[in-house]
Parts: sequence; C-alpha cells; structure tokens
Amino acid sequence: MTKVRRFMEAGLERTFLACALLSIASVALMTVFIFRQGLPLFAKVSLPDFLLSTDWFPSRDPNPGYGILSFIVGSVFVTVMSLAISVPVGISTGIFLAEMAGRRFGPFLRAAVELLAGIPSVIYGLFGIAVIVPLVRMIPGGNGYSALSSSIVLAIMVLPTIINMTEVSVRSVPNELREGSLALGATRWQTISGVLVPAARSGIVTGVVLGMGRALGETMAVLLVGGNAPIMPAGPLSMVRTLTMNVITDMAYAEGTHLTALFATAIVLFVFILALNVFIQVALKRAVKESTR
Amino acid sequence: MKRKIRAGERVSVGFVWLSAAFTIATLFLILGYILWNGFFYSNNVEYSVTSDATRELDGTLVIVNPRNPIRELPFDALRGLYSDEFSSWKKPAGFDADSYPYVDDATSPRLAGLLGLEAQGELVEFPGDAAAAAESVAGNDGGIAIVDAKAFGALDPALIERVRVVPTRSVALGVNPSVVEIRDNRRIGTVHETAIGDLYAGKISNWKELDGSDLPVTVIVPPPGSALRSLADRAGFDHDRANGHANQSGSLKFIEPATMDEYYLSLAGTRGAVGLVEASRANGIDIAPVKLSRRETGRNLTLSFLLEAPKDSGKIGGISTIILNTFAMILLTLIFSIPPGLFAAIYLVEYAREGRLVRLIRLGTETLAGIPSIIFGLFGMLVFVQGLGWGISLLSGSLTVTLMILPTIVRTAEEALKAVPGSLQEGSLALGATKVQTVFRVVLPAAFPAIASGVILAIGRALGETAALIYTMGSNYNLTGGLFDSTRTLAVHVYLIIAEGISSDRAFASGAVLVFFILAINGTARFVINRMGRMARG
Amino acid sequence: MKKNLMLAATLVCGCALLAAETYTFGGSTTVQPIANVAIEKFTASKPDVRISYEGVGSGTGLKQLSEGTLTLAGSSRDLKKSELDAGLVPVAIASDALTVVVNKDVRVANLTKDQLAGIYSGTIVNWNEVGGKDEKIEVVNRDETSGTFGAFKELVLDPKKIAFTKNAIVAKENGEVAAKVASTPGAIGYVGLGFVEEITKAGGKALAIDGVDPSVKTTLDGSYPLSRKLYMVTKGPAKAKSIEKAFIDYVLSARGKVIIKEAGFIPLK
Repeated sequence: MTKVRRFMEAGLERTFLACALLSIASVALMTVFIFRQGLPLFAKVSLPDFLLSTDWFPSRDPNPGYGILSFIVGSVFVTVMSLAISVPVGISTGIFLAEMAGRRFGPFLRAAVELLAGIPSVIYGLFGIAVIVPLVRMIPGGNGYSALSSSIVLAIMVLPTIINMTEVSVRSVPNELREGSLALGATRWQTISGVLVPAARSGIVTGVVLGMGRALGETMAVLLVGGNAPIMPAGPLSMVRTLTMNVITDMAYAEGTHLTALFATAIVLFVFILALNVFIQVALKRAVKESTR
Repeated sequence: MKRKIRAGERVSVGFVWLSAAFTIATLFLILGYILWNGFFYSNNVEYSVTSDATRELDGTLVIVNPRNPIRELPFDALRGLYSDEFSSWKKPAGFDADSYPYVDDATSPRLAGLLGLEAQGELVEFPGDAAAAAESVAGNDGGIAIVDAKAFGALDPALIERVRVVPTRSVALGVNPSVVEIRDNRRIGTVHETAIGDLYAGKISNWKELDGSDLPVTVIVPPPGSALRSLADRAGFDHDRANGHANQSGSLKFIEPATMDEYYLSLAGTRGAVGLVEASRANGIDIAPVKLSRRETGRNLTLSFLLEAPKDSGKIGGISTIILNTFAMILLTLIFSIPPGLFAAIYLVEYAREGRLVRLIRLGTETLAGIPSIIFGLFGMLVFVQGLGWGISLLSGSLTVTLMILPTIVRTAEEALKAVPGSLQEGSLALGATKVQTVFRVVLPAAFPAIASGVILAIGRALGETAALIYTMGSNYNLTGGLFDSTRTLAVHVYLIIAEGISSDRAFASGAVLVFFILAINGTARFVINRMGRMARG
Repeated sequence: MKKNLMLAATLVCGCALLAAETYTFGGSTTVQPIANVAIEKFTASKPDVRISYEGVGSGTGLKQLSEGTLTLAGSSRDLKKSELDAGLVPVAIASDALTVVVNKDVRVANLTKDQLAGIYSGTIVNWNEVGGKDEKIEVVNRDETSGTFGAFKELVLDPKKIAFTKNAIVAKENGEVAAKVASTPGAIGYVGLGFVEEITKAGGKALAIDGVDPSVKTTLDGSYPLSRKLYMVTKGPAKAKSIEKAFIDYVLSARGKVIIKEAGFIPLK
C-alpha cells in the first residue's frame, strides 16, 4: 500500500470511530446541558421542596411554588395503569406469536404489531380524543379527560414493545428445553407456561421495562387526553398532568427560575429513564449469563 | 387433577387467543377510524334557515361563478354578501376569493326589500342588465349576481353556461321575540330541524321542551294557498289533528290567519308564537329566527386538499405546502443521519474489538434510543435554536430529529453488515483490496437492502415526531423558504389543528394522509426486505 | 463525497434564500387570526418579504419582543408597567369582547360577574348553584402566558383579589378552549369574540354577563362588562419605512378593518 493509501485508510478508520463515538457524545452532551440548566434550581429550592411538594405555582408573587410531586405521581400512576393493561395482553400475544400462531396468521399478526409500533403519537392522541375520551365519559364517568384515558392510549402504544420482546425471548429459548418438557409428558400449554416463559423471563422483563420507559417518556398522546390540570390525581377518572406534559406546556413561555424548574423536571425524567435503561442492560447481561449456563 | 389442569389450560389458552385477537382488532379500529373519518365527514351544522331550497327567490335568480364551490346559499350568507358583512367568500363557502356582489337594473330597486336590508352595502355594483351582470359574474371568481329570473332565462345559452344558478335557502323558523329572551336564566339555543315537524304536528306545547323558557307554544299556520303553507303541510301540519292536540293540552294553540299580512302580525304580536317565515322577514326585531341544526355528511379528504396550500392558519385550503415541508425535513434528516449512522455501524462491525469502548458505544446508542422526545426537544432548543443561534428553523428541527433516529440507523446498519457472509469479505481482501475498499465496494452493496429498510423505518419515526419539533422547527405553514425558516410538518400540523380546535374534519383528513404515509413506508420496507430475501435465496 | 456535495449545495441554497427578507412576528393567539390574514394580504404585493407569526401567547410574545427574537408582537392584554418600562410601545388595533362560552348541555343563559368569579376561583362547583341543572362545572382555563388569561384575570378575579382554581383543564390557545368547551359536558371557558363562531358551530353557546350579550354593539357602547383591546406592539415606536410600521398601518387601514371584522373582532372607530 502506498503511503497516501495508508494515510487515507487510517483517516477513514478514525472517521468511522468518531461517528461511533457520536452517540456517546450526544448522550454526554445532553446530560451535561440538561443538568447544567436544571441544577441551579436547587440553589433556590431544596430537593424535598421540589420532589415532595404538590405546590406548583411558578407565577405566584412573592413566593412561587415549584413542587412537582403531583406530576411524578401522575407519570407513575398513568404508567402503572397502562402496564396493568398492556403486560398481560402483550405477553400473551408474544407467546402466541412465538408458539401458537399458524403459518398464515402469524406473519399477519406480526405485520399488524409492526404497524401499531409505527403509528405516530399524534394519531393515537387524535383517536384518544375522538373515541376513548367520550367512551370513558360515558361508561365510568367524569369528563373523559383523565388518567384512565391516558392509560388506555399508552397501553396500546406500549403493546408492540412488549409483544416483540416476549416473542423474541420465547423463541430464543433452546429447543432442547421444549422437547425435553414435551418428552416428559407435559402438554403444549404446560410447556409454555412452566418451562418457556420462566426461561425467557429476563427478556420478557426487559420488554416490560422498555415499555415502561416508553410510557414514561410519552408526551403528545397524553397531552391530548389527560386534561393537563396541575393537580394530584385522586383516582383513575381524575385529570392528570405528567412530568412530560408539564415540560411541554410551560416550555414556550417559562423564564428565569420557572425555566430552570422545567429543566430540573427534565432531569428527574432523565434520571428515571436512565435508571430503567441501566436496569435493562443489567437484566440483559443476566439473561445472557443464564442462557449460556 | 387432569380436569383441573385442562380447565385452567383452556382459560389461559383462551386468554392468549383473545389477546392476539384484541391486538389485531385494536389496530384495525384505530386505522379504520382515522381513515374513515378522514374520508367522510358527518357534522351537525347550524343555520338560521331551513333546508328548503328554492331556485327562484321571489322572481329573481342568484348566479355565481362556476369555480365557486357553494351548492346552496343560506339567506343570511346572501344578505351578508350584499351588506358588506362579508368581503370574501371564505366564511360563507370556504372559498378564498374576494366577493363581488352585482345586481341587475331590474332587481336593484327592490334589493333592500328582497334581502330585508335597511341599506345595501357599498361593495354592491350595478353592471346594467341581466346579460351584463352575468358577464361580470362569469369574469370574476368571486362574482355573485341577483338577476331577474325571466330576463336571465332569455339570455344567450352560451352566457348561461358560463355561470351557475345557486338555489337559496330562504325559509326560516320565525318566532315572537319573547321566545328568544333570557328568562329565569334560560334561553333557547339551537334546535334540531326535526323540531319543525314536531311543532306543526302539535307534539311540543311549551318552549321549555326545546330548552327554552317556560312559555306556551302558539303555532301560527300560514294561510292556505301560500308557499309557506305547503311547506307547513309537508312538515306535518294537519288541521284536525292540530285542533285535537290543542284541545288536549290547554296551553298549546294553533292560529290560522286568513292572509299573509295577518300571519306576520300574529307572529310579531303573540307571545310564544312560531311559524315558518320568509328569511327576509326574520329581522330579529318583530320576528326572530331560531337557529336550526341538521346533520351534513360528505367527502372529506379530496385531491384538492392535497394540492392546495393552507391559508388562514389552516382553516381554509389544503396541506400541499405542509407535505412538501415534511419531505424537506425528511431529506435533510437523512442527509445528516445516514453518514454518521452508517460509519458508526461500520466501525462497530468491521474495526472494533469487543472491549470496554465497544460496550460504552453500545450503551450510548441504546440510551439515546430510550430518551423521551421532549428531552430531545429541550436539547434542540438549548443548543441549536438558542445556543448556535439558528432560531426555530428547518435546520434546528432536522438536527434534533437526526439525533433521535441515529440509534435506529446504527442498529439496523449493524445487523445488516453483520449478516454479510464473511466469505465475501475474505475473498475481497484476498484479492488485494484494502479494508476500506472492501467495505465500500463489497460489504455495503451486499448489505444495502437491509440498510435501506432500516432507513425507511427510521423515516417513519421521523414522520411521526411532534413534541421535539414544535419548539425547534416551528409552526409556519407556508412552503419552507430555506434552512433557517420556521417550518411546519404534517405531524405537527395534525397536532396544531387539534390543539387550535380548527376543525375535526381537517384533523382527520390530515391524520389520514399521515397514516397513508406510514402505511406506505411500512409497505416499502417490507417489500425491500422481501426482495432481499428472494435475492438471497435466488 | 457525494453526500458532502449535497450538504454544501443545501447550505448554499439556504443562504441564497436568506436574501429574501424574513420577519418573525408572534404573540397572542387571539390576534393570530387577524395577523395571519393580514400577513397574507400584506405580503401578496411584496414577493421578497416573508413574515411568519408564531402563536406563543401574549406574555411570551412580549418577552421575545424585548429580547429581539420577534420584531412585532400581538397582545390581547394591556401591557404591564415593567413591559412599558422596557420600551415596548403598544398600538391598539381592535376591540374585543371576552366571551364566556359553555357546552351546549348547560342550561344557564346568563351569569353575573360575581358568579363568574366564583366559578373560576373554585367556590362555585355545580351548575345548580347558578340556576342550571345538577352538573359539575368543568372549568377550562388558559395557560399563564396567554393575554386572554391576563385580561380575564384583570377583569374578573383581580377586583376581588382571588386566584384561579387549579382544578381546571388548561388549554394553550383560544381554539383549544373552543374544542374542549364544545366537547366536554358542563364545561365553561372564555375566548375572544372572534372564536365564538367556532364554538357555536360545535354546539356550544355564549353567555350573557350581567344581562348583557357580547356583541359589536355592546362592546363599542361599553355596556358589556368584559371588553378589552387588542394590540400590536413594537420595541420603541415603529420606525418610519420599516416593515413593522407598514404592517401596523395596513392593519389600521380600511382593508385592515375589513380583515378585523371578518375575523370576528371589532375595528376601532
């Protein structure tokens, strides 16, 4: 190789490396920027006052309130309710796709799940306003814009993630386990519920946690059906504002400490999601370790 | 023991089948609902006049330019056009053209009386006879003329072809002003058109049954032989049955005056009175019109919606510029995200050794994939919009979306590159090619279909992005003028239409277009994968 | 290599298009319908001028005006002393009647200012307390940056020194209030007069306040208690020959008055 060639090769390799490092660089930059913008809040507001107070009143003069507990509870409440719906349905459908689907129905269902995953959140929001809100208004009651409506919409949005991970995990369980169980006289279903699912449980849990992350981070769909009232949700029919909704509602006009508070809210969200991500990475590692044992 | 197991199994298996069915049903429900409402609308629309349309209006005809989309002209719209209340067709017909009201000489003396106006508007012009008026209308998109019916009929057929006669709806449900007053904090609002039939059939005896105040109903029936009487009869008036109802209820009364003058006097003078009237007479002073609602259905998403530009915040017009803006955003995003994403994947697959660095890179990519879009929006606002000073623009927004889809591109490119058989690479290296040459001339082309499908799916994600774009790319619905212009994309447009409460029909129409794009993208990605599968097998 | 060329080409194109003058206005969502139409008509004869209006709310608009991000802001409330001190100069362009709207199933046709204050501060929670049926009042409020929010607060709540209830659906613009009020049973909200048509189209209705209906007539003669002015604001008096001055003059002209009327607001005499 000529010197020029070698130079170019090395240069290109470095370019490739730089691009690969881009993802870490972006995450690092984001973390730095958001923390830098949000941390100064704690010079003015103590951590308990921020995380544990429900008094969110940034425009009150002279003593503005920056308590985001209502929104933390809102986010968690809505996420947990949505998982309550999507986890059973999602795991079941994932199992179905992995073990029970026929040769024609299987790909059809899989395509449907892929499509569900690709629908934008505004469309879910539009559907939510047009169908789910009036439905909730009619059957349980209240004004329709509620935590329940948000959870239903989120559940549908999170379903593909859980279905996908469950299917992949159950499929990747080694065949010997399947055949062994059947050889021992277990029925198809006993094999699935007693052997495959437990074997795939790390992957399934990973899927659920991924879904949790998606639900926590969703903004548009909940913004349209949640009601956006800055109150502590008293029950499923109560209006709700999540951490994401709080950020996007005030983002355009907040200034000074108010803006800092929004970044601090973003930090809380960020930390939640990061923690979930780390959990996923750890769980995946454990899954790999277990399956190779 | 066996029976218990089987029963439990049946339930579980049943639940699993149910879940799968539920998933498919949900997909079809959501897509079907959006597409259905995107294509057809069904609304309760409110008017001051009934649905009865007549071609002639008291011996005159109303003609408009053929490009005007209006099918029937409600009387108050007609009156508004001739009294300077409307200077354009936007409100009456959703048609963006300034209005040019004309009157021919035969009709102009009685224009005020015809339309129930005190004085005609200053915009009204007098071109001359019916032919001149028709010419003016034919030559002006927003033209409208009231011409003598006989004179019009006698015109040259070629001229008649160049204009369109519009039927007018000039019958209103008139009531005595006592009916529309606020009493006991109640006032009658909009009434469904079917109430007309109920009133004439004697089924309603007090206004509070229609959400009005507590006031007995007195139905004044138009004199026999009049046009209004035939409408009343059609609506369900029957003399004997009416008397029967009146006798039964005690408060309900039917009055049948003998002449039209007496008819109008009764309406103006009797508390609780109601009757069909000429719309020009329902001036609110002695006789007030009651707003009527009826259900209208029709086609929603049309080709012109896709080809017209939006005007007036999107209330009028279509979404052509917004679709083009969306293409611009996608193009820019691809330009920014494919090179880095591809190169990163190349590094991970071809050069890197499993070690700390690689794990760190993978951690970074996975984390980036999980960050909520609103945080990208905040970051984009901080760094691109404010920090680098690019403002709310196409550039800032595209870079923000680039960061969001980067992980997807890296991941799918990585899988695609890994799937290329090692033998191809080894062969190339054995022939003396350098690593870089191998990558670019052998591996990439082989992995191309899989990479392409991954890129296509990433486009799908970019298409649906809203939260991150609102504050980084902006909401300007005109065609983007450059990298530094505020630009609105389709998903943002759907959100803004819902949020600004502009029109649920438009929200669904725009949503249906977005759904189409997503379907197209998904379909294309699958097609590419299938072709690749076939190529590999073949 | 090809990709780099494309990038360069796009940047060059972008810079070339920069040669067209771009102006960014923004602010009140109440003024937005007037501004959008006025901009369309105003720039129709000026092909190399591009103006956009960002509906970010009066408060944000005024803030961005003083920072320089916007060169003209629309405001639907009077300017605060701090804003006037910062050198912002408002020009009144129209009058507006703050109209209280309710969902079609609300049987009430009139409210007194006191009752309105009670509802919005959370002391009155059921429609039967003000003459309607037994139905929970769903309060729809605007977000804090909204000028309409500010105007309503000034006219209804400040005189009694009470605060807005937090148990309200927060809508970010007039149109959203219209949508939420029209589709939520028992809902009450407030919008500019120009948005009432949207509500009635969706089945809602406007209330009389203290017995007076909101209309052009009652606003002009002052009998309607909740009227306010709409403004266009510049930093410092609009310079002669600037686009901002030309635009404001256009809105105040006869054609501008027609645009204001068609948007549903009330041109100044």
